[in-house]
Amino acid sequence: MEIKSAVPRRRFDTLVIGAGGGGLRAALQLSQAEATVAVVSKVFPTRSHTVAAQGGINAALGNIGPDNWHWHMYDTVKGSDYLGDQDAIEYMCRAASRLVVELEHAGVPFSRLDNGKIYQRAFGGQSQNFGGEQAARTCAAADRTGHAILHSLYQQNIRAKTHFFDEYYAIDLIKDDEGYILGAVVLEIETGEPLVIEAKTTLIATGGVGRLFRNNTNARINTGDGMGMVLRAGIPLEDMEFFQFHPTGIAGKGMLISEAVRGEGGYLLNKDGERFMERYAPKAKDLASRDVVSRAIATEVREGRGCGPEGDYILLKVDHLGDEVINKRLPGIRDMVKTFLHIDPSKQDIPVFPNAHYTMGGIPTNRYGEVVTGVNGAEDVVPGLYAVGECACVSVHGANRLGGNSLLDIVVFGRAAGNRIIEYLGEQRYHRPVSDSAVERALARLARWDQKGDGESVAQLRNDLQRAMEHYCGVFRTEDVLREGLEKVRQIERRLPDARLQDHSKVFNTARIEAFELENLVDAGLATVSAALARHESRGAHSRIDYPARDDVNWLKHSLYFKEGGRLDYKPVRLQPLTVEPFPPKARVY
Amino acid sequence: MRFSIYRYNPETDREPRMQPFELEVAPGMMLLEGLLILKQADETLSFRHSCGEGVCGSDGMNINGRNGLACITPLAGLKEPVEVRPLPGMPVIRDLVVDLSQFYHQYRSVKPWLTVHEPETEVEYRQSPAERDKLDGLYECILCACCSTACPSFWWNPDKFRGPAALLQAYRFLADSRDQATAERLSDLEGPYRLFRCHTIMNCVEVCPKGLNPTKAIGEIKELMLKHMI
Amino acid sequence: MISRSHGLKAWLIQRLSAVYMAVYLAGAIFCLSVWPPQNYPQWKALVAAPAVSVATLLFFGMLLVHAWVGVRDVVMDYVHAYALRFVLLALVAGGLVVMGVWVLQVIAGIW
Repeated sequence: MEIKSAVPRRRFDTLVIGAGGGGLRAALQLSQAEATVAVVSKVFPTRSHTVAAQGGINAALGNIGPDNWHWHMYDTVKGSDYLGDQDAIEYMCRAASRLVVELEHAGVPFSRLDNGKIYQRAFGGQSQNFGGEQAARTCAAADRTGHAILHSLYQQNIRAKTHFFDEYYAIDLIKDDEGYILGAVVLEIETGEPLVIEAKTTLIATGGVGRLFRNNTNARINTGDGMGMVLRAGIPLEDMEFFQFHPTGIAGKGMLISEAVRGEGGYLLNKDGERFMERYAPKAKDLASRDVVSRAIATEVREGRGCGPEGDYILLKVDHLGDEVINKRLPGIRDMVKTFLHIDPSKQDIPVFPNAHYTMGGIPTNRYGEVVTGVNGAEDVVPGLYAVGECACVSVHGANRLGGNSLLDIVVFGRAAGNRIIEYLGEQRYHRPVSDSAVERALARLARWDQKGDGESVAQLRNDLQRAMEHYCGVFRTEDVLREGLEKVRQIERRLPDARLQDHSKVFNTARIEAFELENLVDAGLATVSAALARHESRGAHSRIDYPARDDVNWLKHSLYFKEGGRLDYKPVRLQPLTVEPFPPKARVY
Repeated sequence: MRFSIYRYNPETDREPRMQPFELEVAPGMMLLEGLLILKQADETLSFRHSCGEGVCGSDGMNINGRNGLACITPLAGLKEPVEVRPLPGMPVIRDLVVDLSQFYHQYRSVKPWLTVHEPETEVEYRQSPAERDKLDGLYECILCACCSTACPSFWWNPDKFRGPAALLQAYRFLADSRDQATAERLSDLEGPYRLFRCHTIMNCVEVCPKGLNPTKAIGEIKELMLKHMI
Repeated sequence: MISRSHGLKAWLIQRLSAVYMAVYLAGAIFCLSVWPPQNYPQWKALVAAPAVSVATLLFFGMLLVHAWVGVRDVVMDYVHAYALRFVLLALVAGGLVVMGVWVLQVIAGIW
């Protein structure tokens, strides 16, 4: 007992875990409201994965042509394959323009039109007039929009004097017997020492779990840490079977080639030089939804029309856009292709293939960012716990996210959660007591990796997990393959307790951090495969060869995965928007 | 391929050493991929890394005497043994991990945020494409610290000289047509140290992995100061 | 000795003095190569000409100021102990003043 209480404690009104766009937007809202905020991040804030977002952020500013939030809402609902919650989607699309202007005021260097307004480009799944002509709704800072937004938000947070704990790793949430979340136990990476951060409210903004798959577009930090913490606290994950494969990752390497490339006029070719998207999406062609384009590419390759000696990729043609468009609008892509492929995209086509990209599922929340656990109808709020961004599932993306909606998601719900937390702080004047036993559980997780001796390495298990996920839970899925996949991932889970670290030092021990990350990855992997196996339909990014059609009668519902026993449950989709008529599910064609 | 990597663990080592490594290298491999394979065999080898594509700025290190990002440095062109050291001039925490607090402190010191004194409009501030073009080559900085830790002036006075990265950001806001704090920013940079320790050695330009030019930005700041004085 | 406002001023002085010295040296080399003085009296007469002596005095003044800024920069870069820095700068300043007086004496001696 004495040892436990020796762990130093700090107290804040709010603990934000994760310093990407979602965490920073919420922290900014809170700091400006003069709440004390601690932002804990395992990397320096500007290294968070928001920095890698390229194409832009959607808002119906109408700077290029006619547009309004209601059309944006329709596109998002349709893009989600009707699994998105329409109240949250309406809220997000209505807030979009205001929040983009706010970002611009915060300093984001958006590209500009001749009249001085923010530049907008066409992106996949965007339409005018509820499914009419292509819209141009994505506000862009060249092809570095995420970088521009993340840096601006960090800068505004420095100005607001937000308290940062850079390079601290969150081990586990602290939960009391009444179910309140009271902060977290974190680890200072530089010293290897634990620290208890007590907080009246805790916001999880830890991003997605793209590292589940071997070929992915994600940074190495995207290991689903918040999802793992939530599962261990007895809270489920929602809709984890929906994992977005981005159509255009650099083949065999994984770096993302933004949808902006197709938005600016690039298109895909198979080995016969055919613009094959015309067959799959006669109207939207290369700017169909990501799930549609990814499936089309995978199908072309499966049916022997892939390019290259192995026939295992598709070509993305951009050379016809001309140097000026490429240099002005896609400079980052040009540099990346030159660096990693040693080719000049203004002269040669880019080999691409779908890569794991975005976690539509995550921690279940309502449109205020509050984490909710209810199963049938009534949703119970977990007191003191909030989640925003890719780690959360509001759900605005449903079964498939539209390009340009993720940056929007983080700022809209970052701000909404910030506001909700401010209300909650007004009611909760004092910190609830944190017992040593609550802290102890998290510390046990820390102690587990101090075990010495021989055992499998973390790297080995992680490689096996990533291969299993890719092989058994990829773009196309079937019952047998998923069943086998679930067994494989369960085996990895069983092997996990016997894994050992060789490095037991304290100072900047990255091996130990990777071990914690692996535990989170395994939990998220189990959630993903379990939910995918159970869902007997094809919807959005979840394509079952054995159930090729969408089944709105039986499956228009969100799945919920609980860590305890790997149990699954379901809750209905919120089909009723806030003020407008619902968009009822109908056949989805592009 | 042969490597020689700087190792130092404060818990066990009295002083740093260079450790030789040997690795089978695949064509097209970047240094970061090599380091990750080496780490699978020896998990005590510590370094920062994340995005793997040169946008997060985590894996700045000194490679054969030159600062750069490991993830976009191809192994093919490097002289053997590849000598990998932490960024120079900063305190080493462990192996290739350095303490960048001073670097970040200098960044914060230039007040790197857009400042507008007038009431906020409900729509975006207007900015012409030509005005926006002035931010190109400035806003793309990823704070990897390659430039500042290659700058002798920053080595000698990291507590007082802002360093190339922070000065580039200072100019990023001076050059922004929306920013209204020009006079404050310029007067903040006055004095013999903050800006004027730059002796145009241009190591920063030489090493910047994003191809940015802090020396030019520093020159522009001096010119602005001059204009303001006259 | 090093005040906050001395960044831009020092930098400016160094640039302006360098420009003047460059112009003076270019002029001097040109004149001396076109009309090279043949003997001591000619040298004396040349330097004693009011324009030349003023320009030359100015040149040495600039040289000393330029040297002061340059040496001060080097000392500021490398010498962080204030006592030592003070002593060094005082020595340099003293030396430069002595040199200035000497130059003045030489040119005044010619008049």
